[in-house]
Amino acid sequence: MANKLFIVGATSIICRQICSTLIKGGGSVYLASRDLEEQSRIAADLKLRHGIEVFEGKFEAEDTGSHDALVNDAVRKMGGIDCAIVASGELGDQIMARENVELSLRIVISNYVGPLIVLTHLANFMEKQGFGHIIVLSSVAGDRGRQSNYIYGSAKGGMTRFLQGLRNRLYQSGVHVLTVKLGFVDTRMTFGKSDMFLVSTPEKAARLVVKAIQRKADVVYVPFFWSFIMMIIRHIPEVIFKRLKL
Amino acid sequence: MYYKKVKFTGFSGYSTAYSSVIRPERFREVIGAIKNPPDRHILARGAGKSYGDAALNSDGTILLTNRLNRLLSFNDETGILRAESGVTIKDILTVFVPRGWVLPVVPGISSITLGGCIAFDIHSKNHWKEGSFHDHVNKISLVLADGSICECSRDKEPDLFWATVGGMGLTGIIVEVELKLRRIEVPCFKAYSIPVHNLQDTFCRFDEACSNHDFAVAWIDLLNKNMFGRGILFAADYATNRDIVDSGIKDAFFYDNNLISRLPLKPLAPFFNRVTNRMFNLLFYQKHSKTASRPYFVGIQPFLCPWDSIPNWNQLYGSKGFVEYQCVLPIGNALQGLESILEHIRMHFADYPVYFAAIKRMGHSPAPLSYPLDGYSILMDFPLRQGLQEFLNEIDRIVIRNNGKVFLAKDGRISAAAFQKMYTNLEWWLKVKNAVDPQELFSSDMSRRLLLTKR
Repeated sequence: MANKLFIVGATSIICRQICSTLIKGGGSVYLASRDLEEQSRIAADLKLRHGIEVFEGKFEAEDTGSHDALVNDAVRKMGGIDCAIVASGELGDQIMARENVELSLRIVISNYVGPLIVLTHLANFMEKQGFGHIIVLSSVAGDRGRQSNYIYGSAKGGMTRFLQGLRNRLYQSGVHVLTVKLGFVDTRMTFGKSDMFLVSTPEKAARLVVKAIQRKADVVYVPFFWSFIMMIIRHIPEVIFKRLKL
Repeated sequence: MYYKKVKFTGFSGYSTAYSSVIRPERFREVIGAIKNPPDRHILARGAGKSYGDAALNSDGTILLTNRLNRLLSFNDETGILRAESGVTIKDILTVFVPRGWVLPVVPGISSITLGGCIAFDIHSKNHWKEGSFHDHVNKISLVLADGSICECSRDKEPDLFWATVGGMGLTGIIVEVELKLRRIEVPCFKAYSIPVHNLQDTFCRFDEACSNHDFAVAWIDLLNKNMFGRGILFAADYATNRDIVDSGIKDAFFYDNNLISRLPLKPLAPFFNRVTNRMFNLLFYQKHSKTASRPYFVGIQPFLCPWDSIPNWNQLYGSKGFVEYQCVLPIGNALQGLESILEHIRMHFADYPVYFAAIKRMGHSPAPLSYPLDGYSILMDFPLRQGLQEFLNEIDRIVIRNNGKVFLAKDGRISAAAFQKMYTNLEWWLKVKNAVDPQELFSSDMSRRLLLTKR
C-alpha cells in the first residue's frame, strides 16, 4: 500500500508491526531511531521477511538540527516519501520527573519538541510533493492532564494540537495527516506496570492504524472504545476532576 | 526493566509456578536482566510448550524471549540462516518455504522457538535419517551467567555447545542461532498410510519404511481392547515436481492456521472420555486404512505438525490435565521393552487408559542430555488420575531395565533417581554447568526436581 515508508522511532514494536502490514506489496523503508544496533536487527528482519529495501538513519529527538538532513537523506535514498510514521516518545517516570528536570525535559523533547521539528521538515517536503500520509502515534493521555501522568500527557496533548494545525494547513496540498490516539498497548513501555486495563496487542493496534490510514481518517482512537472512555473523562467538570486520583 | 508476577503452567496442566517475568525487547536488555534479575535465579522461556516443569521457575525470574524474534541474515546459496532465539519454527517456514527452503528437522508444534528447539534438541518424524535439531545448527550464541556473550559451535567452545544442546536453558540464555536450511522442490509430501496389526508388524513396517522413505510415524490404538496395538504407519517423502504433475494437482500447498484453531476447547472437556476417544480411534483407523493402497499429497504443516490445527488440544483434558509419557528404547531391547510396557498398560486398562499413542524410529544423538538414541520411541497420553504416578513409575522401571530414556520436554514427574539411571553422562554435563554457571544463576523447577541444580 505504501511504497516509500519513512519511520521515526523505528525500534517501537508497534511501528515494526505497522511496517509489516503496510509494506506487503513491496517497496522501500527508511528506519530512523536512536538505537542503531537494535535498528539494524529490525532492518535485517524486515528485509528478510518481506524482501524489501531498507535504509537506516539516526534520529535523536533532542538533536533537532539534524532532522532536516535526516528527511533529505530519506527522500534521496527512496526517491520520495509516501507515508511517514512518527512514533518517537518515551513514557518516562512521572514521579521521578517531578524532582528531576532532566527527566521532564526528556519526556517533553522526545514526545513533543523532537517530533515537531521532524514533522515540520516532513510537512514542507510533502506539501511540495503534493501527496502523502503523515501518521503520528499520540496517546489518549493527551486528551486530559491527570495527576499521575501530566508531563507525558501534556506533551502528547501539545502534539495532538500541533497535528490539528498541520492537518488544516496540508489539506490544501492533498496530504493526509492522521493522529493516532493509542490506549494501553502491550509494549516495553507498559510491561509490568500496574493500573493497566484493556491492554491491546501491538499486532491489533497496528492493524487498526493501517485501516485508519486506508480510509484517510483524521483522528483515531486505538482501539475505538477509548473514544467513549475519553469522551467521559474530557467532560468531567474540572471542579470534580481536580479531586480525583486518576 | 519492568517485571510482573505471572502464573505459568506446563502444557499438560499439572505443573504450575509463579515467577517474576521480564520481557526484553532489545538485545542489550538480556544482559541487563542477567546482571540484575528481579529474583535470584533466572530461566529463559520461549513458547512455553514443554509439557511439565522444564519452562517453569517457581519464585524465580522468567525471561520471555518472544520479542527477540528477528531474522538476521540468510545466504541463499548455502541456506545458512542466522536468527534470534525467539524466532519460531512457523516464522521460518512461513518466510522460507515459499522461497524453496525448509528446515530438515521440524518439530510437531510449529509455535516453538529456536531457543526451545535447541534446549530440548527436538526431533521430527525423520530422526533416524536427519538427526535432531542440533545436527542442522552451526553456532549458538548465549549470554552466560557473568553477562558475557559467548558463541559456541562444534569447533569453538565445543563443551558449551554440547552441554547447551538438550541443556534445557541451564547453561545460559540462548540469544542467536545459526542454522542450515535445505532446498526443496515442492512444499508438500507424497504420503502413504500403511495399516499395522500389532507391535511386531509395526516394527517390520518401520524397517521397510525407513529404507524407502524419509519420514515415518505410526499412530497406534491402545484403547480398543480387541484391536489393541493396531494402527496406521504414515510414511512420506517430499514430493517432486513430477509427482505433482502426475497427480494432476496444479498448486502445491502449505496451509496456515485458521479460525477453528482459535476456538476454546475447554467446554468440550466433559465429552472427552474413553468412549469418544475409542470412537475417534475406530474412525481414524477406518479412514486411513481405506486409502492404504495409494499415495496422497499433504502439506508440510498438516503432516509434520498435525496438532497445529487445534493448538489448544490440551484443554480437552480439562482442569485435571494429563501426562504425556514419551520414552525411547534401544534397538536391541525395543521390541521386548515395548511389549512389556504395553502389557503393563493392558493390565491396568480399566484405570489408566491411553488416549493417544505414537511410535517413531530414532537414531543416535551424541549430546549428553539429548533424548534420542538408536531405537524406537513411543509417546502416550494418559488423562491424569489418582495413582497414575505409581503406574508410570513402573514404566520408568521397565525403561531403565531396557537402557532407555524418557523425553524431558514432556516430563514433569520422573524422580531424580530414575533420571540419573537413564541419563548416564550427567557427570560430564554437571562439570560444564559448574564451569559456566558456578552460582547456579540459571535453574528451573525441573533442574531442581532432577537434582541438576541445588537452587
